[in-house]
Amino acid sequence: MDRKNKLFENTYRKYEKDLQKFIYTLTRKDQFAMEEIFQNTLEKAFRNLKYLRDDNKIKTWIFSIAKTEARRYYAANKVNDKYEIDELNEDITITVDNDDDFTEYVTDSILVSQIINSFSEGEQQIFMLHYYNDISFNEISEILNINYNTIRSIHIRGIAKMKKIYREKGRINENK
Amino acid sequence: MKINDFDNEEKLVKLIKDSRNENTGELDYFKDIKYIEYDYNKMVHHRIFLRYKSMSIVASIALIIIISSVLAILIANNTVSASMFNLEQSFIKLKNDVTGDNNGSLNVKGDSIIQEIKNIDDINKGVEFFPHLFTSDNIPERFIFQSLTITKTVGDIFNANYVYKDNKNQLLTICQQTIPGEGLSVSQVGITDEIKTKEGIIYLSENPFGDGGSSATYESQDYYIYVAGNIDKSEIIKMLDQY
Repeated sequence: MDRKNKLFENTYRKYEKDLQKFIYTLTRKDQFAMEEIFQNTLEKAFRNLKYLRDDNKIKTWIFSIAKTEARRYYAANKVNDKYEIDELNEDITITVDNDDDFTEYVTDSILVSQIINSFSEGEQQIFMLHYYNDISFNEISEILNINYNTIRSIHIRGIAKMKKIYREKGRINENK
Repeated sequence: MKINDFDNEEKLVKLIKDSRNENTGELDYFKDIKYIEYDYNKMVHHRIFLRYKSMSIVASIALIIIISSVLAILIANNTVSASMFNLEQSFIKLKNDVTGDNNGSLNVKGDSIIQEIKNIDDINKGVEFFPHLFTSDNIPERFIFQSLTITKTVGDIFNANYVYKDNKNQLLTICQQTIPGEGLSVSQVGITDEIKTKEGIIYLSENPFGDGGSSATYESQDYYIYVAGNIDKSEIIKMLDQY
């Protein structure tokens, strides 16, 4: 058990900020909720350390406990009742059409970060959970207690925004 | 191109992840995050402490159950009241230790058990402790409740003291005392009236010292109630008459 305690401590110290950022993303910048879920996650992980079968998966294991705790938090607090309404009320008119692959315009991956920074909070949250934390849309929908179609709509809207910006940059580059 | 086209989705994923891997700086999303410094060692020691604390709580709860069972048996068998009273004191001390509530309303002091009430809304606790507690709906409105202290000693002898104050800081005190088996000697200065009620007699001293203060003693079969303060005859009678 000492070996596992040591492993837990090393993992915790290495990933504590990543874990907090992950939970912060899950809670959509709710500092209070992040702190509560973070503490619950660590205590639960430490308490159940004896059940961890594969030491190499400890990081994934702790992050999955964080997801469960976030799910529990959302179910208990019903914080996202207004989420869907706020997001879908946003007045965006973007068409998604079948034309060339817009990613060929991309030569600057720094621009991706800037584009994500320009998204709405909901779009940022979905993008980061899906692309940076490898969480499927289904699971995002379950954790955040939001309709799956809403998650997909927000994602598609984000992609469309990204595509629009890249195409505009591409036209600017072509015209130079 | 469809947004969910597999090849382009894969490219998009790579693009976004590459942007993270390159030194692009923190995303704006995290600019307000406050990282918690969680004391890992405290968590470990807290878990060890909880393990031991839960054992001592279990032991204390077992003791409380045993004591309350013994008390119930003694009450049922009408055993010597001194033993019962000592057990009751032990019970209260133990309960306060387990709950950590040593400054709570019910405490043991010397050979007494004391119930303190600081809020009139908690008067029910007083009645629970002392079932025959004097209560009145006719306290003059100008007086604001300050405190009630109920003291219990061996043999179910109770003494209850109310303190009220008005907006001129004038006091009104009401004291209720159990009359023990051997009787109780009470003296009162300058009795001006004797008023018989359904349950007893009110001995009234109206302004005996010329300072506007009055007092009254009400004697029923089991209790003396003594009222003193800046209060007139009609107010005293109204307060005591309903008891």
